[in-house]
Amino acid sequence: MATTTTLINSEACSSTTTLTDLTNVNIVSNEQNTIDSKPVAIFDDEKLAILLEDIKKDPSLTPLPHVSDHAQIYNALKTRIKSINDDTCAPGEENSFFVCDINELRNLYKNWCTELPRIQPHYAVKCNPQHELIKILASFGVNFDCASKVEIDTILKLGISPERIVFANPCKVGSHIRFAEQNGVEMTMFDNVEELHKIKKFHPNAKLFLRIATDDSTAQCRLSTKFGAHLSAVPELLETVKDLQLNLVGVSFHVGSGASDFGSLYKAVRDSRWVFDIAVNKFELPPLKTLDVGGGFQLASFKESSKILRLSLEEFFPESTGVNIIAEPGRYFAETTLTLATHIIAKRKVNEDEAMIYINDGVYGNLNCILFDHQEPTPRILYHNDQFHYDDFQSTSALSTPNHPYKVSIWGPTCDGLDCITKEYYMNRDLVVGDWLYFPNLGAYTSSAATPFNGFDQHVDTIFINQDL
Amino acid sequence: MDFQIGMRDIYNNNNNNNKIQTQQLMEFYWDIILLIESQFLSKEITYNQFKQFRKFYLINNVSTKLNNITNSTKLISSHWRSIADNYNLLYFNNIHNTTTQHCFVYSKQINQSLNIIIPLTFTKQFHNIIQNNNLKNWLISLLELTDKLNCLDLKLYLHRDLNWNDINSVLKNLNWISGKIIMNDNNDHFNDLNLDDSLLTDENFLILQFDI
Repeated sequence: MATTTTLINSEACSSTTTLTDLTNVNIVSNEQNTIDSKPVAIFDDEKLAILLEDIKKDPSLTPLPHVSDHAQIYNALKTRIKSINDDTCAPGEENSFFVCDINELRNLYKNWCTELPRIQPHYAVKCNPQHELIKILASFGVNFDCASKVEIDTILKLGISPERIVFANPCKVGSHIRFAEQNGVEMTMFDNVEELHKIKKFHPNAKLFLRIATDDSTAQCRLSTKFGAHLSAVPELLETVKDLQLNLVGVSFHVGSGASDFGSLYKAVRDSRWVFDIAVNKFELPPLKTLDVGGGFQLASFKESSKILRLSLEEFFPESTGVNIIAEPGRYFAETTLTLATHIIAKRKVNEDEAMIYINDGVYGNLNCILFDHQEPTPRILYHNDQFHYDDFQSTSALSTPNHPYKVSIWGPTCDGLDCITKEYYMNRDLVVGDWLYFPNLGAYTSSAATPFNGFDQHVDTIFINQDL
Repeated sequence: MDFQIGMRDIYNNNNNNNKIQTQQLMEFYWDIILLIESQFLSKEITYNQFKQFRKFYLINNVSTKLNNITNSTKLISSHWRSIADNYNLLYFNNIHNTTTQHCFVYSKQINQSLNIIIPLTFTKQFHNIIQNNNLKNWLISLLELTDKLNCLDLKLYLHRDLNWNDINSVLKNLNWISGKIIMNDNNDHFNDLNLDDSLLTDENFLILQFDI
């Protein structure tokens, strides 16, 4: 046993330099495309804003209302719940469970291929690492983006080739880099000089992507505050790549999850072109081969973001350049594919029309997206008073209305004050213990981080539907 | 210990075999152990219970631990209640340079699990880390430390009375670096806790786990 005082200099682990953000400079210039200047772009900020406005108004890009396969989902939910006998069920039988619609996944992949045929998707495993989901995506031809050793291990154990994995975390622990090297995972990211030294030490032949920062100020989940090198840091990084004789193969970026201003996509592709150009022209590195356009794709805005992306690629990376394009979608594939059903295990009346409802899942389980992903899941009444109400899509409301007289707060099963699903929601029925709620479109960043504890298994069953269509 | 990635053991530089200094060091070590273990004391305990904790619980358990080490008895538990193999005060040079108040983060290494405790006294520094966009670097430095100590996982104990907005900043998108939230050991679940054990709880903290 020992006691020590340890000094840690976190600056020595990775760069903390604050640099000027160059992403908002006017990109139209009369000067020629010299090695240090931005590539000449068709759209300056003003024209880009007009273009984005036009795209928003384009009726062909208006997203159709997303329609789930309600009949099959309802059937799966009903069958499962009817099979549970409250009086005789074994422990765990009444646990929360997911319904996963494989046909939804299939349709999403087809939609991806239609909208972005040039782009090879690498599914972000962190979004939902359910094995069945991964196996099905792999069978479609989707590859994988892993953020950690555990995720790489998951993919490899499913028999998927390491060549289909990109280790897309620009700040990795040394042991994770060693693990990637030992298991043949070659593609990885960096955004700081110290990371390059770690890679040189543990994985010198890795195929490297330089991750650049983007303007993600309109994103729901901003990532550039965590990851990505600002453009002014790029020359130093390229110099280090050259000095260490590392194998730079491409550039990556991520505009953040749930972005609403897709001008950031255009700017990020333009900035990537600049990195491609100076890597060769100024630093005499071999031509880069791949652009990783990251993730953040959402079904609701997919047509719009795809259109901008296609335009950007056509301008800066036309097919004639021979550059491979890859992406890291997670939420796009997982979100609408899964529905969560939970059981009401306790109720505390606050007054005649207000109650605290306790369900058997929460932020320590499959609803951890509330803490980690800013999500506000929508509860709907599934089962009440011996009847199913799946089809009543107006059974709940976030706002008080005459049709929703019962105010509830919904809590997870632990005694922890943090375990709150919603502090205020309104129901059209006075729920009681034994009723069920369901949460539609709850597949993204949910079961990924759920952990078993003290015998309370937080990993729940998943019922797969529409597997054989 | 000789950390090559931005870490070093400052005790190594001051080691001296002088007898008086050794005695002082022993007292210093006891203070560190008491300081770190007392982070887990229940908020409701009385002063007499604290004395009981210090005199009987801690000394007895450390004594048992030392006997086990002497007898080469290998204990496999890595539970936070266990007396640690190593206790550390972690000093963040670049963060402390920017503040006048020097505060430590505590760690206890149990088998191959590193438990890092962010106490309430670190509130200001923790806020600075978040505000200055140093969170990523700070977390990576803790992960590298965990790796260097040959530990397989890092558990980060964030005091629940730290600024909630700062805690929330850590939680957001934590899965980008394989972090996950861990439930507290609710003492109610342990029927066989003796009176001394019940003085301790992990419920003062929000616990995050990272696999190395």
